[in-house]
Amino acid sequence: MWFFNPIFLAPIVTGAMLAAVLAWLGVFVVIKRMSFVADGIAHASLTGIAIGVLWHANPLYTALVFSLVVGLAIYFLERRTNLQVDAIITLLFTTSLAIGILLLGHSGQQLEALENALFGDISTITTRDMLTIVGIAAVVGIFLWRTSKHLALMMFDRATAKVAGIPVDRLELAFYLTIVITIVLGIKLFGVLLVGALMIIPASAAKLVSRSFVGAVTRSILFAVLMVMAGLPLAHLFDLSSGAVVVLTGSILFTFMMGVHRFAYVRRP
Amino acid sequence: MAPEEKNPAAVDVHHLTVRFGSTVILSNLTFSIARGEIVALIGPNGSGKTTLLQAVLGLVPYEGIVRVFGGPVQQALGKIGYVPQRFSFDRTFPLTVGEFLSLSGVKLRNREWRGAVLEEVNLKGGENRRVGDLSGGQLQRLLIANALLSEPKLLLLDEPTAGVDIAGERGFYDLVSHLHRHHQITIMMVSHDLALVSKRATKIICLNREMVCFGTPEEAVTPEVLKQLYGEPEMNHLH
Repeated sequence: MWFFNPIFLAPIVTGAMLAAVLAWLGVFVVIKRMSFVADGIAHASLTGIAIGVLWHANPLYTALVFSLVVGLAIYFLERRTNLQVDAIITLLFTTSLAIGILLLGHSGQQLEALENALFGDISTITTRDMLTIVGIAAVVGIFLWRTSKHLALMMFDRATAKVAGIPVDRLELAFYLTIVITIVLGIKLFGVLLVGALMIIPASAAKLVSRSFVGAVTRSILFAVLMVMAGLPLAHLFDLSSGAVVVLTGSILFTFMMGVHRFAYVRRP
Repeated sequence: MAPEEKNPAAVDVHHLTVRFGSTVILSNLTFSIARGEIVALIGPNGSGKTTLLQAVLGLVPYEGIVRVFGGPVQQALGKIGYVPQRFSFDRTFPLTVGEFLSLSGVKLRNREWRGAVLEEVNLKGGENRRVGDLSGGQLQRLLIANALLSEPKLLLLDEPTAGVDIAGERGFYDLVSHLHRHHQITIMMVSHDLALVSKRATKIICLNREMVCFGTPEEAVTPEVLKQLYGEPEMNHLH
């Protein structure tokens, strides 16, 4: 059966692993009400992709390096200015996006590169890319496993976390850089325009139907894996854009969870 | 200089000044709080009460010397419990009482301690309740329970009864008195209710960006001090 062909299955398993850590991070992003960050970083990475195209380097790696610089800039601007994080992200992502468009305009292969970057293409993923994604996703997973409780407390109340002896400044920086790395890896599979959905849709759907933090994290991961495991084969079967089908699978799942929330979780007077 | 004796004061503050930009929030405060005191910080809005607690905790940059149990606050964090002013908690987010209490990763002295703390704040049996479903008073008691888990020697409470009804407020002060009596905890708390505070506190610090008074309620809170703090006498809350 085509589904069990390793050539087809390996990208799906890679996508599911990455979706799982994106969704886990998404729970914290939703708590911190910074859902915009995923889109911002994804757009900002376009310059990194353009640099890769111009230099004939692997755009995945140039985008990673460039986006880490953007992540550091977000962290330092948030601490050194009185601007809110959404304003800082907009400032950086529009600037980066503008540079990226200009650079791609000079590359001579702008259309194909831009389309790949915007929508992702899981069929063009190389074994080396897959190994990179799986390795980094595993490291991110271990980081989240070890720091989840402290991250949650830091986001609920920074001062309480600090008094509890949690190194909040270092933890926050690590959190931002982890988001950047994971988002950029996701661009290869799902594209700049849609990768944010894998961070926000599963976490939002899980929030609707969970009473506990552990429940929210578990369901968010489960929903994200479901989006990929169902969405990618469907896209392949009907020859559709993989990122778009994965996101729409998530939107259907979210709508279903809205119904579950309405009937099972909303208190009746 | 701060005293370096074997049994140092719970909190020692010398010439403390806090500025945010060019604005002076606290100016040249000096005081010492002995172990076992209940100290109330009073003063009008914007007088620097919260900033003083934050400076003691090392959460804001300051000039001067702040020592907690004879050393820098970073060395005493394990002995401090802190209940912030407004817990900026998203009430819609799924989190149970039990989960909340485990977030800081405090290593408990024994398994019974957690239950004892919950019983002390009257939340026993509610570990599976959603934090977002708690009333204002219950949330306040949960925050205190969280602060007590590490068995602190110093408890800092920032407007602990804000948003709590009168019954809840009295219950809260009973709890504070109980903690003070049975656990010998030193307590610093910000409050607006002068009448209640005067009955419960052993010392009062009056702030209006600078120190207006410091002493026992009887000696510190005089009509002149109240006028200095709040303006006209009819605005005073001391009955």
